[in-house]
Formats: sequence, structure tokens, C-alpha cells
Amino acid sequence: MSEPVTILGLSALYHDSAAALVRDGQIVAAAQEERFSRVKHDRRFPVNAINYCLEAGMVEPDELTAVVFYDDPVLTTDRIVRTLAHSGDKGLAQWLKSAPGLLGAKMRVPQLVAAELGANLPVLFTEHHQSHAASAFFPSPFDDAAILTIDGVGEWATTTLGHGSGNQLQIEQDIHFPHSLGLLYSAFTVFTGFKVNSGEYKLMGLAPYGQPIYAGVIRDNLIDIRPDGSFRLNLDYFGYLDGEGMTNERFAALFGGPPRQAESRITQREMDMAASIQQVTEEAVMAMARHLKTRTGAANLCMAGGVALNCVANGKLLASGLFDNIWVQPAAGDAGGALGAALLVAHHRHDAPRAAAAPGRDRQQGSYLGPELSNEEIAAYLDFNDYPAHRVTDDERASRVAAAMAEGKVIGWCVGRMEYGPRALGARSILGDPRSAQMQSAMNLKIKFRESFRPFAPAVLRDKVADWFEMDADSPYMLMVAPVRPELRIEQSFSTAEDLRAIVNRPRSTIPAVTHVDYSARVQTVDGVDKPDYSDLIAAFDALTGCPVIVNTSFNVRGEPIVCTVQDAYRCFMRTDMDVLVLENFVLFKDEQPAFADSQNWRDEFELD
Amino acid sequence: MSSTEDKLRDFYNAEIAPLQGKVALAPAGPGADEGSYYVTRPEQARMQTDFRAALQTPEDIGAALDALWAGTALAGLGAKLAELSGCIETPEDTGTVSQLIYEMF
Repeated sequence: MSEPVTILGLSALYHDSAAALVRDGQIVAAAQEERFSRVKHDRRFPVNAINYCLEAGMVEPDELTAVVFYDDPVLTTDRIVRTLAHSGDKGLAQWLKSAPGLLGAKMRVPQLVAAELGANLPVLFTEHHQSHAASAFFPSPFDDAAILTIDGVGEWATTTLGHGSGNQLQIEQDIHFPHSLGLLYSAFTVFTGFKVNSGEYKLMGLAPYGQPIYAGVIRDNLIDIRPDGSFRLNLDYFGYLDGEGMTNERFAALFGGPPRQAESRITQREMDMAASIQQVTEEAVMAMARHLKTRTGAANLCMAGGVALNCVANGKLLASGLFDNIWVQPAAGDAGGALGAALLVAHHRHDAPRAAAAPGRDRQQGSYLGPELSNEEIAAYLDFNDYPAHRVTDDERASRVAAAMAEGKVIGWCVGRMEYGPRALGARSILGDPRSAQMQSAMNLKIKFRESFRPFAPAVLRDKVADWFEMDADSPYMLMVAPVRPELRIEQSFSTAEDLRAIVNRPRSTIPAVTHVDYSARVQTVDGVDKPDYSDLIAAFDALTGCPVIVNTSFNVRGEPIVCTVQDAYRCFMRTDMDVLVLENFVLFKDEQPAFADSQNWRDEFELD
Repeated sequence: MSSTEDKLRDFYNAEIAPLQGKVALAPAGPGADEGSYYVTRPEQARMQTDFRAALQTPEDIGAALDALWAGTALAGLGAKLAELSGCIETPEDTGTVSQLIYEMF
């Protein structure tokens, strides 16, 4: 019997470090370093994630066939040097800041791998966007698909168009740095007072509160979008080439004044800017998709890259019917590059076949690719600390938790393998009743400690999704937005002068906690194949209430990585207003717990995102 | 000022800043009058096969850069960057990413 082809993929040194293990073309494990290190968007070499992947695969480092890094150091260095040379003397500060990382780490990845793994392994490199493309196509359900990747920047590429068939893929066209849809969106993210790499989601959530009154300004001054979706930015308005920030004074002048300060009041200008950049982004994505459809003739589309996390644009693309099916890699950002790089080497270098998939099912395994808690480990932790808990069967867990949710209780739910990607999908989630009008504001302010305007996502049984939302498609990764059905809506209007919090608290449907101000919802469909415990819980809630929809948000507080261990989960549970904690087959009630002596204020521990 | 920072500053002032205006910012692509801003890859660049297997040291990367930069104002800079890399210790990374600018360097 031949030796298995076992590939370790790594993404690191920029943001969202991760590791992934692929054996004979099948995904074994994948995880982000931040979950172990407890540093949000951790960019360090992912030692903890690697250890987890090797353990999950029961493989020693010297048994690996190869290690592959998700970025090409030659092309990246080429871009960095040319960008600095373009800036001349003004680039010195950026050089002093970035050179230690470039020269001391990014040019020495094989040495870092050897030092951390204690083995001399062949280290390979892929292109950044090839990693994204591979992460989009190979785990998808499709044998043939068009591939679209869009992010801030890889080496030179910021957008690529390609095609996948069988176990091969090709990148056919690119758009090059400094012209970047991802950087354009990030520029608006920073200008409206949010952080790059984490605030883009907030900007997207803010968009429905505004009007796209600046869309024309953006098209006329900032970006030239061709009919085929290709685009070029007007660099006169941006500062990122010189490392001076994303935007400059000319940009501010276009929008009537300086950027919003972080954590200050959000005004109508920011809402309108959010709506405007969202509209322009959707126009560009739609035009690129049309071009790709014409070029490839493919029935299916796969997407990855940070911009592919824009679920509003994804939902509109799906609703357009341009492609029969769309699949988006749930770890669409840089973390997913680790998985894509490993899959690309497995298929292209070793000709591994793609993993088998049942008809209509993908190969991502629900993205439940991380570590899981064992009941033995949980029992030991609870016993050692004298924390009261109730051990239950799987059936009892579903019925007891569903009953608690129906009473308005908020649940911390830690069951099964942790998710790979930025979204909690029912393995490390906070859950609640979507029928409550106060739930969105209460969960935002008392549990997540985040901005009140941010919407929550519904998890809905797959076979009932069309009864509640205007979609009838799989969306297991919460990457598609669809409207709540009209008959469930409560018609309303709001004026631009109203306070954001007043608008948020107004019921908009019979499931107000998951209905955004424009009646949209970021839908997660759930079935019993990938996640039966979660499906059983929602079914039990449905049986009690007639509502097959629950609120699902990530199990963390603002700025904290999603919980990973028993300790993380218990600490987060006790620091917040959650009522019930589920740790596999143990159920804990807050009112039964001893007083929690927090050694640290979480606001000091986790920098706000 | 640390000696590392001195070395980096000297290198920048001697080797990179003088290149301003002498090298193109991005690889050549279509112009605004050509109807599309897409850069179409040549056939041989569309599919990844070798995965840069020869790049195992900073010197390998320097040599690959010099091959890429042959005939441009950047020629020879790859070997110099590799040599400078040998003088720079792997930094202690705090693990935080920039709040204000996308991590592109």
C-alpha cells in the first residue's frame, strides 16, 4: 500500500494565521491560531493550530509529505519593494516598520517551519489567490465551476477569475494591486470609524440604515468600473501606498469632513457612506460575475477572499440567477488560505483525487474542522472547580435547552468540533429566541457588549427555510442574505433623523431579533447531516413554539476570539448575561453557579474590535 | 537608535529610495483605453505546478528576485535583500494587526 499524501497548509504573518491538514485530498482538520492564543486575528506563526492539526490527524511532523505556505515570498517581496520605491523617501517609515517581518520571517518560512516542527520538511509556496481559489473550488460540491476571488491584496493580485474542473483549477485573469475592491471597502471601514479586518462586517450591517447618496461620488471619483467588472481606483484619494493610512484629506473632502472617531456617535453620514459603498461593491461583484459567466459558461460559481464574506452581495448574486449554484468558502479570508494551499498541493502536485461527496453535499464537512471537547475533560473541569452541572442525554439536551430558549433564556452552546472560519455555526454559538423584540438589543448590549445596530443571524431548519425567508437554497455557512417573507413582516418606516437605537428596537417581523432594518436576514440553513445535535435542538424548539428559527451568534464578547476550550466558555458565560451554558452533555444554569471572581476585566483583556 | 534600525535605514536610503521613478509600480497591464482592466495570464502561468520548491533559504528567494528583476533598475537587489535578511533576527511578534491599514506589507 502506498504512503498517504499528507499536506500541512499554513497561513501566517499577515493576519488570521491558521493551519490545515489534508490527507489524500480529504480535509482532516483546520483551525485558526486566534482560537488558541486568544489574540483576535493573530498573525503569528500558528504553532498551536499546527499542533492541533497534527494531533487530529495522528501524524508526526516527519510523516508529513510537505508543508505549504499560502503566499509567494518572491512576488510579495517584489510588490513591497516596488511600492516602497514608488514612495521614495516617504516610504522609509513603512520600511522600518515592515522590514523586520519581511526579512526576518517572510523570507525565512522554511526555517520557521523547521524550528517549530523540529523536522526538515520540504516547504512549498502557492500564490495567495491560488490558495483562495483552491479553498473555494476543491471543497465545493461542484465538479466544474467558475471561480471568483476578491480580497485586499495577495502578492499582486487583488481579484482573480478562474475555472475549476475535476481536481484541477486555473487562474485566467487578475486585477493587480494597488487597484483593489477589498482595499476600497476597507478604506470606507476605517473612515467610518471601524477597524480594518474586523469592521467590514459592521459597515455592511450599517448599510441598510442609510441611503446610497454617495454612490455617484464614489463612481465619479474613486473607482472606474468597466462593463466587464474590471476596475481601477483613483489613487489620489488613498494613503495606503505610502503607509499613511487608508485614506487622505482629499477623500475626507469628498465626504464633507474628517473621518468618524472610533466609538463616537454614528451619524447619518456614516450610514449613507455604508449604503453607498455597499451598492458600488455589489455593482462591481455582479459585473465581474457576469463576465465570468460569459467567459466560462459554467453553471456554478465558487468564491473566496475577504470580499466573499460580504453576504449581502452574495445573496443578491444568488437571487439574480446568473449562476445555478453558488458556493462560498466559509473561511473566505486569509485563514482559509491554509486549507486552499494544502488542497492545491494535494491535487496539483500529487494528483490526489477530490474527496467523495454525496450528491448536492460539499466536502467542507460543515466547516466543523476544529477541536472538540470531551465529556471526560468537561467533567474533570467542573468537578475540580465545584461548578454545578446537569449531565443529560442528547435527547434531553435538545428538549431542555429548547424549553429554556422558549422562556427567553440565552444559551451558550459548545457542542461538537469548533468551526473553521469567522462565523459560529452552532458549535461555539450563543443562541436565543428570535421572536423576542428585545432580544437583538439585549444580546448586543448585555451579552456581546457590541454596537446595538448589529443584526443577528437566524439558523433555520433547511426544509423550512422557504416558509420563513425568500430563498430555497442551502446556506449552511451563513454567507447568504435573504429577505424575511413578506407575510411575516411588520411594515414600518423610519426617518433619517431618528436615533439608531430607537430604530433597532422596533419590531420588523414575527422574528424581530433576526430581521434587519431592511427585512433582510443572514440565513444559516441547518440539516441533520453535518450537525445533528444542532438540528435536533432547532427541531425541538420548533415543536415547542411552531418556529423552526433560532438566533445564532458567535460565542464570545466583543473583541474576543470565539471560545475554544471549556475554560474559555465558562469564563465568557460568567462574564455576561447568558442564562444557560451547554458543554457537550452537561447543562449549567447561571443561577446555580457560585459567584464568579473574575481576575481580569474582559475590556482590558480584549481590545475592542 | 538600534543597530538593526540603522542598518535598515541605511539600506533603504542607499538601495530603495533612489529607485523612485525608475521602476514601475505594478506589472504592465492594459491601459484605460483598452476597455478592460483585467490582466490575462499567459497559459503557462495559469496553473500552479512547481510550488517554488527551490525556495528554501533567503538566498534562494534573493536569487529568484534577481531573476525576476533582471534588466530593470531593481537588478541585483535580491541578493542584497537576502544578505540583509541574514543580519535581521526574527522579530518577536506581538500578534496584533494594524487598526488603520490593511496588512499588506
